[in-house]
Amino acid sequence: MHVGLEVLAAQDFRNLETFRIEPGPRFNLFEGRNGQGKTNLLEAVYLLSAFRSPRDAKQGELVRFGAERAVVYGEIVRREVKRTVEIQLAKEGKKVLLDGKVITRMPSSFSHMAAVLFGPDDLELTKAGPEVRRRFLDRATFAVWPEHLLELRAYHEALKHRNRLLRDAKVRGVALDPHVLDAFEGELARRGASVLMRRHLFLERFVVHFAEAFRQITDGELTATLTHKASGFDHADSHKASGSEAAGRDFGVAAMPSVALELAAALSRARASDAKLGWTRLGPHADELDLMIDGRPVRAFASQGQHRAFVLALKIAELHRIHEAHGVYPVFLLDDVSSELDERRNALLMETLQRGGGQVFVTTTDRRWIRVGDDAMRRWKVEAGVLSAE
Amino acid sequence: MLPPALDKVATLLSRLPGVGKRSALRWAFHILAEPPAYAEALRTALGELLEHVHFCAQCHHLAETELCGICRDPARDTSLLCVVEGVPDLLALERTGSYRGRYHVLHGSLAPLKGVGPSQLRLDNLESRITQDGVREVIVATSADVEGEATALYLAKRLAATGVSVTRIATGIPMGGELEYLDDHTLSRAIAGRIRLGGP
Repeated sequence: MHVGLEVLAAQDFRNLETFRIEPGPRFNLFEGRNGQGKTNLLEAVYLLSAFRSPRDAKQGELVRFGAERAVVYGEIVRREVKRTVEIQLAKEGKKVLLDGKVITRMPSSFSHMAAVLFGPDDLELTKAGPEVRRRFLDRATFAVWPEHLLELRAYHEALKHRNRLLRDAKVRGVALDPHVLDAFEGELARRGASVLMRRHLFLERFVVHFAEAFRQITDGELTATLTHKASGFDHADSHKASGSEAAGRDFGVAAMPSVALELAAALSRARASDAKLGWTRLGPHADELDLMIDGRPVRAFASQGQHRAFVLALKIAELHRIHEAHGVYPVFLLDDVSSELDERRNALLMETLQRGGGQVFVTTTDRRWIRVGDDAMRRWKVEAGVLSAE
Repeated sequence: MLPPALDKVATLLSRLPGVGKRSALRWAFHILAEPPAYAEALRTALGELLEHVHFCAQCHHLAETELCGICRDPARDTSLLCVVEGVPDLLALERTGSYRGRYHVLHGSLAPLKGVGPSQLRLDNLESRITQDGVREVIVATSADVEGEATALYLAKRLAATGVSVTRIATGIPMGGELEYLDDHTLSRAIAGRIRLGGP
């Protein structure tokens, strides 16, 4: 079972010269020095998958300097069915054409092509603040259920409304109308319960893949856990990658109404203190993933090598989780991280990707990092935005 | 620079929904280029609109007299009151022909980010209507987005004191809709809002 790009083309996209290439079904290698456009190429593939930039870039930044608009085009094959995706980008906005027809919303269950991106930014996953881990979690969840993004957006909209009410009360002395606050808290809680439910469903299976990947990477010498801390729910140790502690709080579909009620009650209790701050402290926007190795927080105690092992396990688990959901391996975009991993871990990643059998796009400054026993590997050189096949 | 009068027209037009600055200016030029009779007719029509079309004193629907046709219709069930965000929503419900109660048009939905609170909505006479007309059920038919849903929740809280039954229109599968073609979001909502068909 296979999904991937048979044709990738772009015009006036970032620094890339107009190109059209035919990637192979397996490994595709892009070699070049830094700043030549390799990452932009992976960004183009990601765009065809998620219809948005992985770097949260502004629309205008995606368009080549001096050009009016950019176009990214791909021919996707999934289960022998070919589809075309075209993304037109301009400062004013973007247009997505699926099979030549303009679409305004994400196709259901990401039916065309899911992608996993592993780039240098991901090396911060275990080190940076919680928002980086939330974004990782939401991106991956979105790859399994695209509607997660809609609920997340609605949640943030409700959140902004509540924050405005609190800020107006704090800054401008507007009296807080308890009914209005109740109403937006109720909506915030309902959308929040839905966000939590998706994260929960994603993590439930993800942690299994994660534990297995980490065990493999470290030869079983260390145990890593990943725990979802749902803000507003104390001791909500709902997901442990290992160990057999009973799950604390259930965020599943059946529990949604009670989760919403609980969240609404927590928001209501926090009203007075939130009003002093002028913003909302608790809720899914403040969730955290607690990462531990042998019971100690990764952020404070892990060695450089352990950080890398953790991140690698997260990415391999993401690959397997999405495969499990869709029945096909997502396209894997590997952006120059091989130089950051040691030889053994590199080999393990390549082996995993090779076994998976999905399509892979790899960028590197030096091809010696990428050791794959793939005779069919296709190679390109990237220099000053120009792609040339070998 | 534009003549101030032209600039003024273009600015006013650009406030209309879906009209950008550029098309507003194009429209203004178009009005100017037409024979003067067109602009005259537009002026008269706008004047008449202001003069003759009002909002119903009771339900805030469009009316040419103090009360709208629906509020004056004795065949309407006064015990049912349907709350909608705008006149287009009311007209859509009327087209179905399946609702025989009365309406209450809010002319908006709660949106703190846009500065819309309860006092910006036509809510002042809602409670008095409920008690005076002996309303048994208020059906909240606001949209299913964040603002519409919050408005529905707000009304439920606010009307709790009146003892009236407050219901919400259903969201889910469109008639004749095949499940497999439905987007997941709508389908999830339909599952959450399922109704009992039988059994204990």
